Amino acid sequence: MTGYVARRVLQGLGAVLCVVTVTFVLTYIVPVNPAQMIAGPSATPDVVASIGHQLGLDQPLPVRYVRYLWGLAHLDLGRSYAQRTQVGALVASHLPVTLKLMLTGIACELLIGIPIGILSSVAPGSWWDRVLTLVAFIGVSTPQFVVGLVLIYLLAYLLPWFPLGGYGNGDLGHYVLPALSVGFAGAGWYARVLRSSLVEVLRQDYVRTARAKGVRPRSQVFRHALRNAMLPVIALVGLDLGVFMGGVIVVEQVFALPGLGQMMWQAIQVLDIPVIMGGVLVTAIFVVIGNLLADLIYPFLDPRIQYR
Amino acid sequence: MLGLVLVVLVVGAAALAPVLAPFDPNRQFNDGLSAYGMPRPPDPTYLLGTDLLGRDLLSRILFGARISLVIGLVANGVAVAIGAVVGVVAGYFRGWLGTLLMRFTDVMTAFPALVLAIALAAILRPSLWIVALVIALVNWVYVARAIYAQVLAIREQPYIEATAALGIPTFGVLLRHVVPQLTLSLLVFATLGISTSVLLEASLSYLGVGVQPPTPSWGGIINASQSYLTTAPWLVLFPGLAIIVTSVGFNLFGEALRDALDVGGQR
Repeated sequence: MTGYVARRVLQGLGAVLCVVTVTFVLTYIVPVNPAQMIAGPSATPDVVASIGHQLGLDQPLPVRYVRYLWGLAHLDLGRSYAQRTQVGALVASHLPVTLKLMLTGIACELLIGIPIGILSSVAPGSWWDRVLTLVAFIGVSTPQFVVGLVLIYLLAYLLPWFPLGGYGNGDLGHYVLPALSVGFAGAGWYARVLRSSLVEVLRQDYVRTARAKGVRPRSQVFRHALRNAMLPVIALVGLDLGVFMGGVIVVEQVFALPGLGQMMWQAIQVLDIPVIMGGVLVTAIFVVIGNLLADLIYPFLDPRIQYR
Repeated sequence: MLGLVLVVLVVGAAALAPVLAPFDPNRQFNDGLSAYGMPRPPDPTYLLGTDLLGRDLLSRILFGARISLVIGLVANGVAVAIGAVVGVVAGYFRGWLGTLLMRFTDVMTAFPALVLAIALAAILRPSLWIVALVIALVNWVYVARAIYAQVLAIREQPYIEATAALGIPTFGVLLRHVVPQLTLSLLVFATLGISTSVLLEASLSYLGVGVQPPTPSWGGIINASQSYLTTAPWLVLFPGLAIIVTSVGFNLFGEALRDALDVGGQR
């Protein structure tokens, strides 16, 4: 088990390194000079060159790459071009907002998706199964910003229950609508995955035995079948961390939440490469951790699975 | 069935936009704004109301369908093509080339897709084709993985061994004996993926790094009018519905196709 975890952590670090490398190459081959962006369109070539020298942009690409990795190894993400701060400090100040949004958002996905999945699987083909399946389809087919704007109109404007956006003093009320926007779209995936796996499990012999010996229907589902059917759902939570980080720019933009998404969005606007790199790095780490956690939770749910 | 109806509806709207649209989508009407300079709510002349510049919203949504579908089809077509080539090459030749290709695919899945798309689109000055290309670069990985798994299974079949015994060149084997086996899966991907591409285009345009105004695109309409959400909610509601209908349509149609053709291609 320990050996397995160590191997997976190493593989994860390798994946993160690859993502950093790809981003590094992508952001540095773009046909825009960051020094020119900072100096402004009317700056003289001398000024642009001196800013470029200050930032180390006049060094060849491999040198900059090695320097960046050397910094990373010392937990130094570099300095922002646009703001005179350390990227590490920027990430640290934006991370809590995104983490809260992630936890509440994924909680919403599960709270909406799992009941839908269970309800539609107990009687496959029934009218409510068809209605719920369509609801799940609409969920996965609706962009988060549309859900978000509709929620703002309904629950912040028509019924002023929640703030229109922003962060305020950071209380949970500011996260309800963003979390629901994340939750509605994601719930569709969970509902569909859980439905197909639960339908499969409910057909198995041991569930039929339970039924034959008179176990109540509710108990058949919750005590016997659900635990086996949850495995693909757990795997999906692992993948979902990555999907969530992909959508976080849009959701934070809709609700003006000052998280990592806003940080990356503002950095992209002014081509603040170290900050973009920092955001991508954190995102990749989330993806790797998500997959790792999913794999580590499996044996607890299903003792038949063992890692060596 | 519902999926087919929705797909026909959207494709029909896009194809017949010049006939169906009551007005020129880019024309600003003198009476298109109220006396206070606000967009007009739906009425008998402007069926879905007008936008911030006094243009007919229905016409803009109908022409927006063309943009959405063109990008969806082109982006997803390119994505399926890249994914198929990578999957077939990696699955058939395996070895170091296959490992390299699939490792690269894995890394791309750990990549925050939207961040990549936004960064590329923001840097490359978005045009219709750039947006389509960016979406394709993000979406091909899912196709590549599924095709890779299928090709691994196909290449173990006896008839592939037989082609080697017969001395058929590798390229011929791939083209005439491997790829035809994948046609149905690729067809399903080509349908299901349109939905993903349409959603991604909408998100990019919503952020302002997708299709640029005055070209009507659904995400772009919402981007321009979201600050008027409370006074002109129809400007967000109707384009939003258009996105949902298109995406649900292709999703349902693709799933139905997959069930009918009995090919397992999980996303």
